[in-house]
Amino acid sequence: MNRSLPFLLVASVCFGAEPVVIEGEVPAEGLFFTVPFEVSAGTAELELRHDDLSNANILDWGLFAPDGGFVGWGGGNSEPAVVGAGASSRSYRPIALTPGTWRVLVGKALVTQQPARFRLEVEARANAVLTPQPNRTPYSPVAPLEVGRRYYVGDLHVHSLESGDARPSLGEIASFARGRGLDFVALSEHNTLSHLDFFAEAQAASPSLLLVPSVEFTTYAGHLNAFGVSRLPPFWLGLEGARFEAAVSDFEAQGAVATINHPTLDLGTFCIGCAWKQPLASGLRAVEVGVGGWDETGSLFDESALVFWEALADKGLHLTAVGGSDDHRAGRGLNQTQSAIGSPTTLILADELSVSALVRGLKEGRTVVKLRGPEDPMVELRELDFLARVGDTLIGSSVRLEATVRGGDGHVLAWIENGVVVREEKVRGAEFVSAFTLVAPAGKAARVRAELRVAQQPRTVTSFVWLAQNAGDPPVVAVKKQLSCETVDGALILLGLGLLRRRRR
Amino acid sequence: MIFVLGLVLCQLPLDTPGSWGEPARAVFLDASARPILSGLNAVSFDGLPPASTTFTFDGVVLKTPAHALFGPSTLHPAWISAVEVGPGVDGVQRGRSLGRNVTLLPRQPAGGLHAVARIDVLQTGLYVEHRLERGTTLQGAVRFFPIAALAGLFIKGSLLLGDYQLRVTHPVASGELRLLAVGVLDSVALFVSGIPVAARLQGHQVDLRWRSQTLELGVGGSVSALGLTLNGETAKNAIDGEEDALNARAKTHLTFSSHATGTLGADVELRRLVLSRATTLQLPDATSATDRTRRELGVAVVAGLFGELQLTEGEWVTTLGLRGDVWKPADAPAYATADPRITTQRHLTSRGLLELALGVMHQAPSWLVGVPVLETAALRYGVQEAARADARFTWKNSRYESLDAHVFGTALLRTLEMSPFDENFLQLANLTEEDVAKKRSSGWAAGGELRYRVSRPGTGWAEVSYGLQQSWRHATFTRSGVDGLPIGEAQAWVPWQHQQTHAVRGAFGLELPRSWKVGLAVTVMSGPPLVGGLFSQHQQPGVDPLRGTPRWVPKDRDQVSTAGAWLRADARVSKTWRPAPLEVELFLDVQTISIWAQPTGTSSGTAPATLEQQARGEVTLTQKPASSPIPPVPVLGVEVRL
Repeated sequence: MNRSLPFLLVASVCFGAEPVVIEGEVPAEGLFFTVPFEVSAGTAELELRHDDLSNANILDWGLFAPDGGFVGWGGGNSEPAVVGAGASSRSYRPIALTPGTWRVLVGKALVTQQPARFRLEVEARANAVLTPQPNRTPYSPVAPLEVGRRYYVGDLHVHSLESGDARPSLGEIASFARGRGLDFVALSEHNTLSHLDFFAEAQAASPSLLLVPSVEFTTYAGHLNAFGVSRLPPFWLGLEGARFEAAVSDFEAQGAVATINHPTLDLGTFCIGCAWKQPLASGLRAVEVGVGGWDETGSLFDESALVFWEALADKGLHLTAVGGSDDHRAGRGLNQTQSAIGSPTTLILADELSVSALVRGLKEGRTVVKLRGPEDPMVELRELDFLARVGDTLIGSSVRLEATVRGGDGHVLAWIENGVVVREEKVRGAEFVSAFTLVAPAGKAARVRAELRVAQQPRTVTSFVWLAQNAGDPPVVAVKKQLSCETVDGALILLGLGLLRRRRR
Repeated sequence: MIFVLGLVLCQLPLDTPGSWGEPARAVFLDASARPILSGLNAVSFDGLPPASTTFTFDGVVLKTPAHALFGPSTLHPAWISAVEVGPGVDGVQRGRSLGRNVTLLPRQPAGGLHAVARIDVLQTGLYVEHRLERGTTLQGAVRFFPIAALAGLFIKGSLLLGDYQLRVTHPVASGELRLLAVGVLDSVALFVSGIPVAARLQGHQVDLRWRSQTLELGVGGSVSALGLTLNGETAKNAIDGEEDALNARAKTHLTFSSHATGTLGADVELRRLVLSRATTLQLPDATSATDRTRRELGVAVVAGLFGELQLTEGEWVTTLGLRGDVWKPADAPAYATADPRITTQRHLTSRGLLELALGVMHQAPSWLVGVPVLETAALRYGVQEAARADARFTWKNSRYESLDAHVFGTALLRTLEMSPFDENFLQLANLTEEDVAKKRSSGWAAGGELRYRVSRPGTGWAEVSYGLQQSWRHATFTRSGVDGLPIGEAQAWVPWQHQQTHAVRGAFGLELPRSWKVGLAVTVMSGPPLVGGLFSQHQQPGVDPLRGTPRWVPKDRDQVSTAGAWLRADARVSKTWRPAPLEVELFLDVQTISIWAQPTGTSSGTAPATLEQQARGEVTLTQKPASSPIPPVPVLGVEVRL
């Protein structure tokens, strides 16, 4: 459906003239619409100022070029968008301002006050005001920063100032991440790839920390991260044929790994679109089981995220466990619900520290998530038998596994087979080894994971090891009993007060 | 005035204006009290959090003295014959608390059948008592708060409050056997950020006691529960914390001579913590997944042993006491504390009494108000410790006129004060040793009160008082730069967040002809420091680090100012009829008749700006005064007494 509002006659922007003001009513149908305006020849820079004219409504803003090309997405950012050939404001990529019909993309994040209206002011300038940005260069993958097979430590969900609701530069992020001992961070901006233009400069300044090109495909019915991304499929679902399943397929075609973000973070307008309501498309490859650091929102939502993950596994979805801080501040000035880079930490077993190797590790399900941070105990799960592997699934009827726990003295190691805790052991010593044999019945795929529990709470989680006699076998669905030892501390009850205090997107 | 353990306690009039006819609420109108927010039933004494104040009813510490933690009292008003605010340094029979004890003295059944039915804007309740022929007494009450249900309509949710009490006594052997049961059931449901959120608080206590002249034995139990449910569209999470406790105590009085008596006693309480979670997920394919978990944190044990010796030597009556407590958290090693205390008094004149007290006290980490489950869970962080000295002089011209002056000084050797309004409250139950070290602080509190009271039976009563308090902490906090971003940690003296230096109060009650009564109380009180939480955080102009435009940034804790002083006037009027055998009282009790809301600081923001102004970075900072949203509450009610 083409939801371009008919403002062509009044929205011709000529440089040097007064800004064009476009006011209108938000259409009732759909989640997105566009507002066209004409740009004349000779325009060097556009400035778009926008207002949702309401304290109750929230509109998001982006921009299309005349050829339909996507320029950028400021989201709910209230500052003006400035776009030119040599420079653009954050969240937007520089682009030549060809004459023709441009369109503002508007997303209806929250519309409760009716009638909902908007106001746009479009100013065209013959001379650019923004300082040129020669440091923007097209992204190209860098050579491996390190070679050697090991678990690389990182954070798979970080925002820089290229996300409209975030603040830090790539340099600040890199500095903080290295301070926590991380090897990589995934920069996953909201619905834009403008940050990739700055990767070369930031990577050169931080040669030991790998910046992973990612995006947070942010919809109003769920957020999805894609790691190793090179292009952004349409996120304006429902407008001009954009579909979620097609977007996931596009990510898969690029070779990227699509992750369900914070699936159970169901907090209404406190976090718009955060809980997962999108279809379970076949290209989804991972799920965040660590939803912010354990000391912040993780202690509230990680356990339900684990339930979500196991439930999807029962349906045959082989999703790798990942965790991400969703840090928007590079660890500075955080409030009680915000986590710093590295909390939680995701470890990926890879042959080298490169984007392609990390992506392969994610696809093969070779991850460990430390729910609190890098200092959490480590659990390394490995197969003792050499079996063929198809993706993340070992082919065979049984496999011997070994879990090595480091730094978990005094805590408990749990083996969770097909969603059921089948064994718990007290960890003794600085290094503790536990063996397990996984058996796959004929025609069924079995799975097991290891989980280290601190004070009866999950702290370190491994991804599944899947075993089947034939690739594609449906999963074993075990009868679940009530788990005997999970925990939530009493202070979580106080979340109610925190929810009353602020609202964020 | 009552003379107990060497220190004089002060009684409060039961019909204090502004107390809504709830005697237990009268305490926050005393010169020594500071409500953390005017109207809330959470009172600070002597520069300590409300959690340091215990409310005792018939020898039992009420674990849930207020509905919804900050609301009305959980006892039917008819139970209470007197309210006494105890001394700071109490005898060693009371332990594991840094602050004062408010004693709610139970009404003693008069004989025969008596009942009190009460309906007012807030509550509907019935109290019944009956004394049987063989000396057995039965007392019971139940209450429901319909106004809470009505308020639920305005908050787009529900608010249900209720409580019950039962007391049975019977002479057994040379003493009396007493059974007491009290209970609270609260639930709140409202929409927060568009999703239904429900919270619940329940507390049930049972206590069986046998007491004679020389011996007291008691056993009891309690169940306390806190719960929160987030009913999201796709994820429903219910989290519940429950504390089950069993306790036993014994106390014996000894007489050594005509000049020396003593008391020995012990108590123990076992507390089991259970935390449970239930999750229901609606998956995108229209199926659902559920999961329930239950965790038994373990059993915490707190136990105490005390000995007390009272010596009378001439004009001096001195009580020496020593108390030892053992604290065994559910998931940490045990530790022990010792509380030596001494109180002494002397009649300086026939009308003047001087009392001095000195002692050491310990208490578990506090959560601003007494919150079940959390306090026991926090035992693993260690206890708080204070040493305190009190001096009081009381002059009684007659039975009806008195003047008392009291000063105190407390060295807060170790505090661990947490609050639901802390910036890092989600982390508080998961503190590491390093975190606890940062959260711990020390400090001091000092002050005093001057109180003059006069009463004339059949005419009325009047009281004027002045209270002075200072309470400071040497704490670790984060300093912020001009851009509002943290620049480092600092340790400095900061005012305690609920310190309100001055309190001046005048109150009176008059008995008029035809059984009319009127009363008025006027309170002027200083404001607390603006450190956030219930009050604003003091802001100063700064610079946005990203845009370079002006923005508000918080002032550091050691540099904040205080909220403005405030005046509150409360009034009460009642008319009583006595159509035998009934007594019917119609009353109107208005808290904050002055309609002057307590200032809570300032609301900081930016002036509306056009898009052009925003584009040019022209941001104008604005501030306007903020005040408490708690409105005047007129309580119109009728009480029928049989």
